[in-house]
Amino acid sequence: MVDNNSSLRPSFSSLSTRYGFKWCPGCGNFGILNTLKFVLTDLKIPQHMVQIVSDIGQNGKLPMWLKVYGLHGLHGRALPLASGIKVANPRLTVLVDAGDGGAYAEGLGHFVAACRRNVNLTYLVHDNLTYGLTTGQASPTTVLGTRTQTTPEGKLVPAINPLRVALSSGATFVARVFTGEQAHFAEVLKKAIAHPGFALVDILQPCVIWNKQQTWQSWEKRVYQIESTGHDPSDVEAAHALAAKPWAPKIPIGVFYQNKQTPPFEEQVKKTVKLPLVDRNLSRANIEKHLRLLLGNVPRKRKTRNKS
Amino acid sequence: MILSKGRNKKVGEAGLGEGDQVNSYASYARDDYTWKMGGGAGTGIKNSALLLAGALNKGGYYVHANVEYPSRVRLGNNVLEVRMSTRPVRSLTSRVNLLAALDQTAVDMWIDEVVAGGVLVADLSGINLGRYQKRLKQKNIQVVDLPIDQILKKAEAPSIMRNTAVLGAIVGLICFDLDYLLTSLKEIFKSKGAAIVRGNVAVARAGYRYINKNYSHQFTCPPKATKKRRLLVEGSDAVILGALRAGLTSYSGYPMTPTSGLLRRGAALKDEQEVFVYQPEDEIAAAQFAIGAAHAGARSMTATSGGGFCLMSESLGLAAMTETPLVVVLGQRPGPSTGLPTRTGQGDLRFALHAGQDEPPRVVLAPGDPKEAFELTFHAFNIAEKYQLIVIILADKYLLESSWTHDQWPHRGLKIDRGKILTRAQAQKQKKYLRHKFTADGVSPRVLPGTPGLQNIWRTSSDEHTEAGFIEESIQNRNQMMAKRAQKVVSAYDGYLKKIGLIKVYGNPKARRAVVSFGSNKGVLLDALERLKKPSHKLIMIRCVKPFPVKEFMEAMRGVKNFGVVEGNQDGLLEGLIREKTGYVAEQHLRFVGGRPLKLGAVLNFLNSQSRKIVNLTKRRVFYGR
Repeated sequence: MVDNNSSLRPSFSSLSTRYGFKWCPGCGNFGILNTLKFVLTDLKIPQHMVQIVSDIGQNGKLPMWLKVYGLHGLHGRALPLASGIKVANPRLTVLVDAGDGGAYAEGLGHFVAACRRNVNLTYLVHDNLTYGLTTGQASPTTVLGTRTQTTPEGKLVPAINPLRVALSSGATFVARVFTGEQAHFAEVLKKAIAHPGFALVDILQPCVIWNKQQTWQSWEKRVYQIESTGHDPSDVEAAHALAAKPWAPKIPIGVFYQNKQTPPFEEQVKKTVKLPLVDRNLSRANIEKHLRLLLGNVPRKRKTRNKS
Repeated sequence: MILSKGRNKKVGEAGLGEGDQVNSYASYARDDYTWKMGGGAGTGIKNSALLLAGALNKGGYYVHANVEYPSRVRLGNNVLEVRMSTRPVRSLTSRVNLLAALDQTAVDMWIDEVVAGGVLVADLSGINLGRYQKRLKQKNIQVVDLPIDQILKKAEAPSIMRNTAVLGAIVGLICFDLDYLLTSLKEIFKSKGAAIVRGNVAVARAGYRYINKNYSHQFTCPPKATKKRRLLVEGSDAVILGALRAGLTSYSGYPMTPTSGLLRRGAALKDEQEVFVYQPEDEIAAAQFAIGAAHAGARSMTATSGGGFCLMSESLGLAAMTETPLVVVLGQRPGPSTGLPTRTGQGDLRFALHAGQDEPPRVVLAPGDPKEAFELTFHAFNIAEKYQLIVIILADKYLLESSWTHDQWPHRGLKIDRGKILTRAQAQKQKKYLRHKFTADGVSPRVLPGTPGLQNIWRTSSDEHTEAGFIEESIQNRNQMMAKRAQKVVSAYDGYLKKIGLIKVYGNPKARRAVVSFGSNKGVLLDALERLKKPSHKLIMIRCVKPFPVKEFMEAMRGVKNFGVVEGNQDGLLEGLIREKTGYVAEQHLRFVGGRPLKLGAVLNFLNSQSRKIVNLTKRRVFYGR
């Protein structure tokens, strides 16, 4: 008989599937996967209570290697999909994986909406400044002037600033990390998962095949942790200013902004509709009253039905 | 049948020239009375008129009501048409016995629909009938000058109650018992306080008395009905009630006519029924919310019209590939593109069948009236969960926003069936749970996220995947998975669909001629069938277009020598589907794309004709350079 409690205390091993890897050697995704496993182990969240929802791209395959409930969805559409899950069963810890393409191009509309809506999710954006799986096209975060497969003359459109978009959209947790700074990444990730609301974690990572400009070494040289500079994450204007700084010579990483006061969306929903929806006894629905209204006459009193 | 030649009249909103001017049935039977109330948008025409329609229903009449309104918020002309009889009526006729015109536009637009000997009610202090005098005289139309402002003044009522004065007048003109209207007014305005109730009652009485004092006994009234309890239901009510009865707990939708009414009702009922009703940022989010909720184990739904359905195409694929239940209500309206936003059509049949890359499997149901909408919406949730399929309910603006009378309602004895969801105890016994396990009927048992035990934890992907849900590209797995997903539709037919009646046949079962259709045409076709001089036709209504009920259709067609297909689209989509699936070629074709519901006269003409030409009701001469 299999032990049902086997999923209560996660370990690095229990969180690993045996599926063969499809990422390139040296891919930043390995670092993200490892850090996730460490964090989930440290946080002691029962494995079966974690749901990961992903976008399309190499980032989106992460559910294949993390042994939690997984749903690999559509390009740019992971956020509303994950939101539907969270509201239906808020007991689940919901993580969302996307790439810079899915998050900031295809799914930008959903991104802004999610920042405002504040459903308790953790949005892990694998930001390697390129479209990896489709072989190297420019992405929204690709730097102006970069030559790529779709921008042979150099990218004409300046990069989006996702942190500022998030802050302007009212996101209650905005952070940027670098996969190379694993301990820092883990700390930020823990805060993000614990955050009672929507948490953006923009994860700078290299793409060893397609991005020859922002390599591991180039990130490593330039990132600095803002925690050590005395940045106050409750100050949204300071967060904006920090996020607006150009990327030379230093790139700030850490928690730019956190606001724990705004209640998560599902808490608001709970005020009038009982959650989780998945616990509902479906046969209870009573439409007699409405049929009576349509009939226009008061019907005879009925015996109460057996509960099914 | 070619439309009659030499008609220079402007084809207006009335649908004149749409084949309805030929009197194929007895001219204006007394027991078939239509009154129409028209006025500017935002003046409460629809609600007022529906109030009276409801009162008529309570008084025992069969009532069929339709609202027509242009795509705007104020002014324009909204109109509610109410057909009443002591016998079943389920369609519209374009023959109006009483027109209550609340502004000049209403007169201009609808005056030509009033039959000879009919009545025009208007406040002539604000309306000019100058250029219609000749017409009114020729057709012997009685003009009732209703001085609404005077009536309001006498009753000391505010001008917002103008419509109520007109309702009272109409009650007088159709010789109906005023008490029914007063009871309705008291009910509706109860929440607004005693003063408002009193005011409305006084105004209604005043309008009624004015008629009795000045116009009594001058009109041929419809016959009295005997009081009988029946339901007057709008299609949208039926869909929401069906969904609630089925255990809906998550409804995400984006406003789009004609399904905004579903969202509005959902929002009004959500706290009482404890349903999460939400309007997200766009239709894609609405579909994704629904899929997410279903993935977690809730019963979910979304609704939209053609344009929103376009946006949901990719999401259909996600639902099908991950085998997540999904119910989508598609309320059709004319396109292409924005089209006629507030009108009706049936042009999305093929789209509903095929949307989504590589043909995601699905079931598509087509209710013919509100009762069927309730029933089929209920079944949709069972089918979606039991077979882990997409179920599309194909409706249209006419069905959703019109009111139909039903004698009974099938809300008892419906059983919720969730299919193979493993309980925690059952999941505990799993050695190694496979989300997409190959089974004989194609349906894999479900474990809901949050179920404990490492052996149960699963993932799935929009990519092709193995039974365990891991991404897999091999040929054998691919072939097996495609077969599995297709098998589920077959299993849905064998295990559920064939028991709910996919085709309904009406009329003379031995008839040599048949008329075939789907959706809201059911009403007008039934009405036409009852008014044929001989029982020459049977009516075959198709309630499920995917999987197409081939066996049932062949059986229905037994003995039929020729058949016609009636549908609200240009290219004969149903006709083509029938030919594709069964080999039957239709000899006659009635198609309408004008955006209005098919009227009784046009259908009777069609049934009585033997012509094999395509009757396209909006086919007119093509004007170049004008």
